[in-house]
Amino acid sequence: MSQPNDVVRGTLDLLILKALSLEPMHGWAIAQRLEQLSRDVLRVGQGSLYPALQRLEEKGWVESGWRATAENRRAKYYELTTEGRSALGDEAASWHRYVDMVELILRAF
Amino acid sequence: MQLFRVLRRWQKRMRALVHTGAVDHELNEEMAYHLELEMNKNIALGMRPDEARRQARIAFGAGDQHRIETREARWWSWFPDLSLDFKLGLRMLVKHPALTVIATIAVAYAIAVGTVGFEITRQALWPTIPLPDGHAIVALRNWNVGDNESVPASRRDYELWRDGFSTITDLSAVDVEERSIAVGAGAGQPETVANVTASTFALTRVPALMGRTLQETDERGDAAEVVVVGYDFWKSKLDGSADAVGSVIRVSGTPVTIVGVMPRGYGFPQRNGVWRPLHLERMPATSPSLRYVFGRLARDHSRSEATTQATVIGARAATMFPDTRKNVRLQVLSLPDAVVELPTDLVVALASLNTFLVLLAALLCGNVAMLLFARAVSRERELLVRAALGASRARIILQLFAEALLLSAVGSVIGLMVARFILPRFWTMMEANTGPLPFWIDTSVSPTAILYAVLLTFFAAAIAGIVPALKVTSGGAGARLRAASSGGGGLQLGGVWTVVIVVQIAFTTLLPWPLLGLAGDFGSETPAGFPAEAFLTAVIALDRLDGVGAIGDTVAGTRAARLEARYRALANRLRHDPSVLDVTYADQMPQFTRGRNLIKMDAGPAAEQSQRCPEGWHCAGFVSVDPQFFDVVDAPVIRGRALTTADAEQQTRVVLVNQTFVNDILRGSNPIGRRFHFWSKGEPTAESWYEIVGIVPDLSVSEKGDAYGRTRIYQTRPPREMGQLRIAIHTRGDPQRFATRLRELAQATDPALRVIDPKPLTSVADHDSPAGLFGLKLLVSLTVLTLMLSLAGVYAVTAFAVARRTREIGVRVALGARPLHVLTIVFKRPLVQMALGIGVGGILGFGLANDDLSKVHLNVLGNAAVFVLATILCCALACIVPTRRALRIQPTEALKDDT
Repeated sequence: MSQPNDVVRGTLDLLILKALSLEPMHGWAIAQRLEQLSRDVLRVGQGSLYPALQRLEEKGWVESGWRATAENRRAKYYELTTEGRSALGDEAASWHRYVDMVELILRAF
Repeated sequence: MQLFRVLRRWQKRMRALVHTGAVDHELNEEMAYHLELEMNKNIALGMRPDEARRQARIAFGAGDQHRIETREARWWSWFPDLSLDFKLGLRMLVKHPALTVIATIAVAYAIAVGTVGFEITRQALWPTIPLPDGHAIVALRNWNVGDNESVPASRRDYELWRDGFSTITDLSAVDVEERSIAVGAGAGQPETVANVTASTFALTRVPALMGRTLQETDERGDAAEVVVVGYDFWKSKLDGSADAVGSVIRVSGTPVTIVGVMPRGYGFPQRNGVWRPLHLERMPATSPSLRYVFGRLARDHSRSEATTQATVIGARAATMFPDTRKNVRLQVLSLPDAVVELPTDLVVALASLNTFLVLLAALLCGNVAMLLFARAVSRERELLVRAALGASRARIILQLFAEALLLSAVGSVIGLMVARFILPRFWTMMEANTGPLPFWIDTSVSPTAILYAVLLTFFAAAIAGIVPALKVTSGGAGARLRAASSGGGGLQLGGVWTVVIVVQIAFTTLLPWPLLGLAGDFGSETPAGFPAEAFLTAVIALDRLDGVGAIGDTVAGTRAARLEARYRALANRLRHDPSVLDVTYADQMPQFTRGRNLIKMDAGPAAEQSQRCPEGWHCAGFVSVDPQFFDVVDAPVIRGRALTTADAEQQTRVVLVNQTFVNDILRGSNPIGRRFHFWSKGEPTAESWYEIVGIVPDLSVSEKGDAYGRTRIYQTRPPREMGQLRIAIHTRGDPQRFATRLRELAQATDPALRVIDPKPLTSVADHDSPAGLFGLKLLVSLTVLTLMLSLAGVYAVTAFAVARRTREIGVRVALGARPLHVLTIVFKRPLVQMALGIGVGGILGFGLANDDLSKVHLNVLGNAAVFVLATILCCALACIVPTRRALRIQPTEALKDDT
């Protein structure tokens, strides 16, 4: 199982934004969605999601609120704000540029 | 939508800040739910419940660590630490009360002087006009480019401008004058009256508090005499009566009906309390009678557009009326520029004042920094332990900053209270010296000034907190820990502190020099030379003719002749009053002879020049008096002849001089028949010379005053020739009690006769005036405070020196060093710093107080030496306690302290 440090530093925020771009969800659901999207390759230390979510909320990219789940339990749901959606685009573009650059270097030899 | 989102976010943040426990509880609940779902998933995958829980915990990671990280990601995460820092700071302030009191006073002092300086500058240079859209009010001014001076507008100008401007609306003409106003059966009192066109109230857009403002119909020649009064007038003169509107007062004896009361704070344009309709049709068309013409920039028009139009209108007037308007340009000024003609160099002066005050604040904060540094040194081990336990340098700096901020905040509150006390008194003093202030002057501390004080507080905290903190935490924890453990302590007072101490002491030495100048007269009883305590004095003036008579009342000489007639009638009534022995007049009384007149004597024996006068010239006070003045004040001529009524009427060039004039300028030689002339650009002509015909005793001549304050020349002139007609009434009994009677007699003589500021002759000397006393008290307070703070600084330095070198002193004493030797070693540096400060301050002060050092008298040098010695003594006083401490150090104690 991968440790949180295995996630490239700084990409967790981007991954959370991507996960939330589909629909609002609570912390555990975000962790599950990330596992599914990565086909179980990427395993995020689930607890480390919460500091990241707090950071995103402080930036105004994510909003949270308590609501009832399908099982009628109380859970804190997170959803993307307009700024968050815009930030996701910027961060994703930035990530692609970074990957292309690394790829370019690796292919050079 | 966006706004709501931002508001919601902040609401959440504030809730989280206030209800930290609840937010933490929610985080726990959220994480618990997460674990429960993960466990359920594991169970669904076939795990046993305990294994499922274990795996869920593994997948979640270190819960406590994540909680901490989540809390640290919150924006206020630094807040609990800072509040702890404030608590610690508060504890330190209580623990060291003496230091707290001194440092708080220093910060309060810095904030008070800084805020007062800023507020005065702001109100002088960037005033806020307390009227709706006040910034759009402008003034029109005729400027004569040939003579380089303004020309009051005439009725013709006003009408031309009113009809010509499209960029300026609500044009209003204003003329301000002093008039005698009587309420009920009381005698008239001088009051500033603004004669205004009714458009003035439309211009200022302020409705009346009661009744109405002036209307155009009030300006008509056949209209009833009406007046609008201000709030203060209504409160003080009419007792705030609800029936004030409709009541009648007398202006220069003319009954006028009050039609309105303006709200509090309204005083357009000069803090005046009475407005009358300006009857333009009673003014000659071309007479320059209007002091101000105001208007409002029309909607969507700027001042530059108005200026462009003014240039065109001004040029048109120059073409139409070349005799009077050829060299005149029409200008558009801001309201403050028009009402207050500030000297051009005032901006530089005020900027310099503020820079000086900020530097003074920095200096005072430097002093506080020094005190806090000395205290921080005593806590060096505590700070080192904190560093060793993992506190970063920034963390320790933040702690010391929080302590300084707390102290500065307390000082700031006190400083603002002091500023609130000083400002109204300062403006009162200004009003006493310069006349009515503009209406926009606000004597309270403005919100902008409070904001400035807050900035100063952070500035003070930064200097007093961060500078010592940087010093204490410099050099690495390990090295400092080793140095501290060895007992010697690694911290020293470096170059920065040396500069602070030297400048502080120099400033302390420098500050009292003006005080020394003032002290020449203050506090010492100057003999009047006549029974001044039995005299009442007041300035007498006459209102312009009122009503239709105002049309012809444009010649100053005619008005002066009328004043003379009224004075003689009043003097006659006074002499018949049983409470009066006699009455006389002069343009100034002996106690406050103003003016510095340069004279040159004829070829006879005389001193080369007077003290502090230009080379080859003598300085003397020049006074115009009643021919009987010296007989009335019971100080008859000592030698020669008295001045006569014929001298006054024929305006002869004969004068009397006082005894000091004879002694100082003529070296005691016979003055009778000697001649002199005043300074003039060209060569003196036959008409320039004045002849001395007699000597009179010294009246109110101080031994300590300088030349022009002590030597006097008296000529005689009739009342109409007096620039200012000041009367002196010799009364039986208390002169102050006669003031009311004087007003009554003046009222009976002519209701238009104004009696200005009647008071006993003993209380008219400048330094006895409330304004002078206030300035002196302020200077004394500042000097005492600065001295106290300097002493605290010197004490801190010397005490620091002893504390740092306890071990060394112990070893030296053990090796047989004598006490004097020990003191020399320990106090060498502080003493050098003090000597430098006193030297720099003394030289600067002496240089500033004596502009021509080559002519400094020995007694001045003596005074200076005594003062410098006194400063050295004060510094020595601050060293007593540390000295005793140094001398009492025993080798055994020093070694014990080491272990």
